[in-house]
Amino acid sequence: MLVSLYSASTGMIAQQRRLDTISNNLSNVDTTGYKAQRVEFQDLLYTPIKEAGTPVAQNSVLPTGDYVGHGVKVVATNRIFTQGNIEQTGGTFDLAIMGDGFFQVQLQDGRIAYTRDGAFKVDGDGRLVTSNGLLLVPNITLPTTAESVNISPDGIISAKLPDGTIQNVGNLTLVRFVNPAGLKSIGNNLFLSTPASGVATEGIPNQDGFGSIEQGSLEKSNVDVVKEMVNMIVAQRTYDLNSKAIQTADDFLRTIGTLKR
Amino acid sequence: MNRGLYISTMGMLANMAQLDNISNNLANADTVGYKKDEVLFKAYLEKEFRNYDSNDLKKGKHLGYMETALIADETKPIISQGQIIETNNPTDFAIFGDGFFKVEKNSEIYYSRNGEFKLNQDGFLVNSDGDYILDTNNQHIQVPNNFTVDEEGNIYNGNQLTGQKIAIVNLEKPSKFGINLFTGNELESKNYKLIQGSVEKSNVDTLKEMVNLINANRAFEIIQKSVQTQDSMTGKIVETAQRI
Repeated sequence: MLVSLYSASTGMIAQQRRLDTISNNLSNVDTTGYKAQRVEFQDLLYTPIKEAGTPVAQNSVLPTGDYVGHGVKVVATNRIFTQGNIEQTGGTFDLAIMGDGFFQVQLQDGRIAYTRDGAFKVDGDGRLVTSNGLLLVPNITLPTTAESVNISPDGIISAKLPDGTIQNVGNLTLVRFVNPAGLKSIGNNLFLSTPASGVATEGIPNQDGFGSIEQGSLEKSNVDVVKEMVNMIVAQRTYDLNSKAIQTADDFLRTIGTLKR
Repeated sequence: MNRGLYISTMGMLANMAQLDNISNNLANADTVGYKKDEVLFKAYLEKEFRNYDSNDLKKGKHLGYMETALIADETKPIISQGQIIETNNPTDFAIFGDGFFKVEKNSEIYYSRNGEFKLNQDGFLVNSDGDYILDTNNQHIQVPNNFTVDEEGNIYNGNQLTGQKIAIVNLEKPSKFGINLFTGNELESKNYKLIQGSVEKSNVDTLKEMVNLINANRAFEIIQKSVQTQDSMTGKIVETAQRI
């Protein structure tokens, strides 16, 4: 059968995957700490019909070969870790990371997950937890009598007690990865480390290249809506064009079919 | 047998090669760093026509040449600039001008215009397949946190040069390997600007490809008519011959 029938269909499949990713980005446009994903494509291998460099005459070789390409494939869905917009919320436990780094939280099964979502809450025991109730690591327990809590850009958490004294209740740390794009998304704004991401390096916020903590703010997603919409238009048009190529291949086959009467 | 039938068939095969190529270009219309292919056709079996009605029956009188068929002869990558799109991702690079990145895959060196790079677990610059990007000394490139790269490819850590420079080389006769890679003979490239935080889209001109698609389709139909005509002529001959 015609190669084009299959190569054009790979084009449609690739654009579908792209649309899936764009849709996911757009649906998470307001998700705190969400990082946009991008589909990356590769052309497939080429079948040579004539290899370039084949001798055609004495002292003369083919300048370029003749080959058939087989379409396109999705090679990666890459997460882009650029800074999201910072939105002021005024919430005491709303923490945004300005710059590099992740918060660590403990999953129910004991593993450590990483997140940029800094919308923390206080549970019944005075501990800082995520919206899903996962404990922040290192654990921070606030005195139940605290009147107000202040979190400094370098992660020092201090509580003001009713008698006016200020008590240091702990230090927030951040972790960093050599290759954050290699982290595994497990949903709920959480990531797990993988062999590709490298191991987590822990550090103090606002030092050694780690981002600083901004209290009373949240980091919104870094999805650029205009860009996503443009990508959506491009994906649809490329999809259309590839379907035309399939139709043409179909026309070719019909034409061949009518050769014999 | 009727020679025209075979000539027409070759024309149809050439059109099919054209269609395969257009489909591959369209499928890769969104592939970063993809360079479109062009199929070049060649007249096949040029035939000399002679008039043997002259006195010298052996030589005959030269009347001229006729091309008896057409074949798809070459597929050639067209290395023109693709559109540059800003991504703001620090590990994305676009080459504006001439040149290719050097990529080490299975200990061999390939070339690519796709600059969607990543860092691996050790902080080395790699492509989506995990192949290392090479510097001007053919070494793997390890970059510091928050690195920047200037237009020539020099890598900076803050304001300080790290001493490594992303290699950009020209190719004498770039030929496609696939999976975003090219092969060819290395030449020096001076006429380029490396842009960090951007990628180069494919240089496929979708309008042109669609026009080529229509052309190929119509040509295919027309040649088919010619095949049918020749077929019915043969049919007539057979019919007439039967009656005699």
